[in-house]
Order: sequence, then structure tokens, then C-alpha cells
Amino acid sequence: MGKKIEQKYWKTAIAEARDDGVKIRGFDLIEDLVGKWDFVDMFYLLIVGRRPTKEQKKVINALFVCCAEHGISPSTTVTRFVQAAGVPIQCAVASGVMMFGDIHGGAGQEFQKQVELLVKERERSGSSFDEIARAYVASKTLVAGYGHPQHPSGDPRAPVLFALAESEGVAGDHVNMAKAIEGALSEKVGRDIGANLDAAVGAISADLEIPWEVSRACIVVPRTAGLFAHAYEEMTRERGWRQIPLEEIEYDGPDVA
Amino acid sequence: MLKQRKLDWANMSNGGGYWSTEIAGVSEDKIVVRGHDLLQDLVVQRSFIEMFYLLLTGKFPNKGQEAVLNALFVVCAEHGISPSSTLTRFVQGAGVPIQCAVGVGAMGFGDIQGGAGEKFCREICDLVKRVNASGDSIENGAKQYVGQRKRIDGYGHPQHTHGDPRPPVLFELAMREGVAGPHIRMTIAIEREIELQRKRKIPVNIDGAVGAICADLGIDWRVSRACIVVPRTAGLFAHALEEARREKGWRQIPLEVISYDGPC
Repeated sequence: MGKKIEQKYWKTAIAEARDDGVKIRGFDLIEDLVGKWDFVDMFYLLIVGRRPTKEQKKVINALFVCCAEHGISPSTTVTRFVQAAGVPIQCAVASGVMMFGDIHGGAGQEFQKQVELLVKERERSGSSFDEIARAYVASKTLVAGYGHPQHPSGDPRAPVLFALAESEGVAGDHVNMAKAIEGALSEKVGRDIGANLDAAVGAISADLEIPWEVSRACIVVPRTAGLFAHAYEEMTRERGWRQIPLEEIEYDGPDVA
Repeated sequence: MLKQRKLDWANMSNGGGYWSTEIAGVSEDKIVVRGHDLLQDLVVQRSFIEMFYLLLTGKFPNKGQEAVLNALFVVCAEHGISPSSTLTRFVQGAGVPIQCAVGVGAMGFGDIQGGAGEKFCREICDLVKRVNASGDSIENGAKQYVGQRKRIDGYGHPQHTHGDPRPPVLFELAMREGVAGPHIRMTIAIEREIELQRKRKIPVNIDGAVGAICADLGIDWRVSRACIVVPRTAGLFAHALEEARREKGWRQIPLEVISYDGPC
């Protein structure tokens, strides 16, 4: 074998599994965590490095319950299509997981990054939330995080989550900014346009001090529960082999010469 | 082009459509999950663990079941640099979107690594069913099971040669909470039989624990991997984030540990 590797090839500050136990971010899994902490505490510890407060935990739990399932959506469709082909269940779920991209389901990440910039700008300039929001909305032709194709009169999940974050004292500058944008946008368009789940997740994730790079975890971790339910329903209730019905398919290339 | 259909709540449960599901229905102003209004009855009132159980079984867990499932989730959420977190970090190191890196790690829970609880769950369910049908005792069932097999899955762990510390804690909690039923008892009886017949202790591993607990919780073996993969996505996101923030990207097996052994 070649020369000794000076620095270890794999380093991590998250966890260590040893013969006699598992250490996670400075806690002993068996002694300190199992039976004492909830999974939601564990999630926050893994991502942020500390235990959430009681209030933060309540808000994360609500976020998780809210995001766990949303019927036949782009991600569950993919999971069911892949499951119908007869692959292992975790692969069908993983395919659904990969669907939470910039366009569908994963836009909370971009929203959080943006709302964090606006909050910083407010701190720097000393302007009000409304002033910053109005300037932001005026500068954009499309404001991401507002409106929802399946909920044209407003995504009903966002107000419930914002209200809880406020009553628990978890909502801060980022939720305030998200709501100010909602107001400025409705004013500009001349009708009510509500925040959608992406904006709710992005703003709440920011106020929870979850880094924006990992805010998709707040949707994807709970949604894997729904995806497993869909994969299981697909394999036990449907006959397998999904395909777009032929009457919905149109060939619009050139005809045979 | 697909026609935009106006959603009609009254007709949502008719079935017979191209896509039908009894898991959840979404209308303009309402989301219903297994017969419960998400925003009115679930979001603030229920825990994510209850939601998970509702999604997979259609029922809410009792307090004891919730406590055991919660402990299972805490135990399975993270296990350091393992095959699945290695995959996630490799893929994240290439600069793909974070959910794809996590998805790849999730796929890593197969029959050989991490996902063997599924097979164990199926076997222990069959065994308990056979024993119940014949009127035999759990102890006798375990004795025959161990006697008939060379290799017994669900026992022993390469990283924990003296026994995985996680299963005993979970089994104790399941007993205390009154959740332990014939499947956990059978799993423990098999451990005892292995020691008696093979003259050495090979303790149950996390796959065996997950399989036995799922069975006693009434979660179908076909979906038992959810009990490891759902919580582990939390750990995988932590690894993807750490990889993206702390490492320089571009992972590769060091050249000095690669050997070419094909023809010259």
C-alpha cells in the first residue's frame, strides 16, 4: 500500500459509532437521548447542533405535520411511478425526495436566502419592513413564495404556521418580512395573494436559525413519511406498471416522409 | 394537454380515476389526511410521530406506541460515517442539489446494509403466525427456528462486536410501555436459543430490533424500512450540509487504496 494518509479521509462533527455506543454532537445516544428526547429535538440537534427550546420544538413539530403529506403531488406521483415498476421501496421514496427542487417543493430554500438578505438590508438601512417589502416587490416581475396552483385563493397552511410561530414567540424578523411582502404584493396586484408553504417554511426556518442551505430538510424529512405511505399503497392496491394514458400523449414531431 | 379539472370535494372519494388514493386529498381550501382535517385537527394537536403512524397504518398510535416509535426514530436518526452517509457526502461533494444527495443515501438502505429489518420483520411475522396456528410455545418455535438454520439474519453487527447497544434499550422501553408483543418476545427467545445451541452470544442487532418492533406496532413488513429511512434523512441532511460547508468538494477514493487487478 502507498504512503500513509496524513489527514483522515473522513472527518465529521455529527456523530461517531463505536463498539460500545454512539456519540451524537457531544451527547451519548443511549444515555442522554433515547427515551428522553423527541425526534423533533433530534432533528434540530443534528442540523443546528443544539436542543430546540420548547416553543421552537412545537413550531418544528407543526411544520413537520403540515409537510408530511399533500395528496397526489409531483413528488408522490414520481414515487408511485417508480414503485409501480417493482424497485425496492426506499428507491421509490428517494426518487420522490429528489423532486423537491427549485421549481416544485424546494423553493423555500431560495426564499429563505432572499428573506435573510432583505432582513439584513433593513437592519443596515433602518427602513421599516413595509418599505423594504414594497421596494423588493416593485423590483421583481415574479415574487417567488406566494400563490399556489392547487390553492388559488391562498395556501391554507401558511397562515396556520405563521399564527403558531407568533403565538409561541418563535416568529421574528423573517416571518415579519414574509408577511410584509405578502401585504406589498397584494397591494401591487390589487387582490389578496397569500404566502405559500415555500415562503412559510423559508421564513420560519430562518427564524429557527436553520441554515438556508439545508432548509429543504424541513419539508423533505417529514414528507418521506407520506412518500412511504404512497409507495406502500401503490404496491398493495395497484396492479403495477404505471404509464401515461395514450389518449393524453400527443406526438407533434414531423410525420414520416 | 391535460384538461384542468375543477376540484369537486364531494366527488373526490369516488375512486376509479387514473390516480386514486386513500392517503390524502387536497382541495382549494382543505387538506384531508386519512379522514382528518390537516389544519384543524392535526397540525397543532398531533406530533409528527402520530402523523407518521397515521400515514402508514390509518390509525393514531396509543401513548405507549408513540413513545416506542419516537425512541426508534431517535435511535435511527444518525450513525456517524456509515455506508449511507458516505454516499450522501460523495454525491454532495460533486455539487448536486441537497435533496438529491440525501435521496442517494436513502437508496442505500437495501437488503444488505440498513434495510435487512424488512426481511427480519417478514420472517418473524411468519414464524409467530406458524407458532400461533400450531398452538406451540414461543420458546419451542425459537428452538426449531434456530435449529433449522445455518445463518440467522438480524443478529450480530460488524461495528459493534460486543453487541449493538441500541436494541436492548428499545426492547426495554417496549416492555415498559406495554408495546412488546409476540414478535419482540420471539426475537428475544431466538437470541437465547442461539446462545444455547451455538455456545456463544450473538445479540440482536438494529435490523432485528426494527423488524420486531414494527411487527408489534402493526406496521406491515413491506413498509418497515420507513422506520429507519424517515428518521435517517435528518442525519443525511446534516451530513450533506457539513459536506457542503466544511469540505472542499470533489470526493474521490485515494489513489493509494485503489488497485487495478485486471489483465496487463
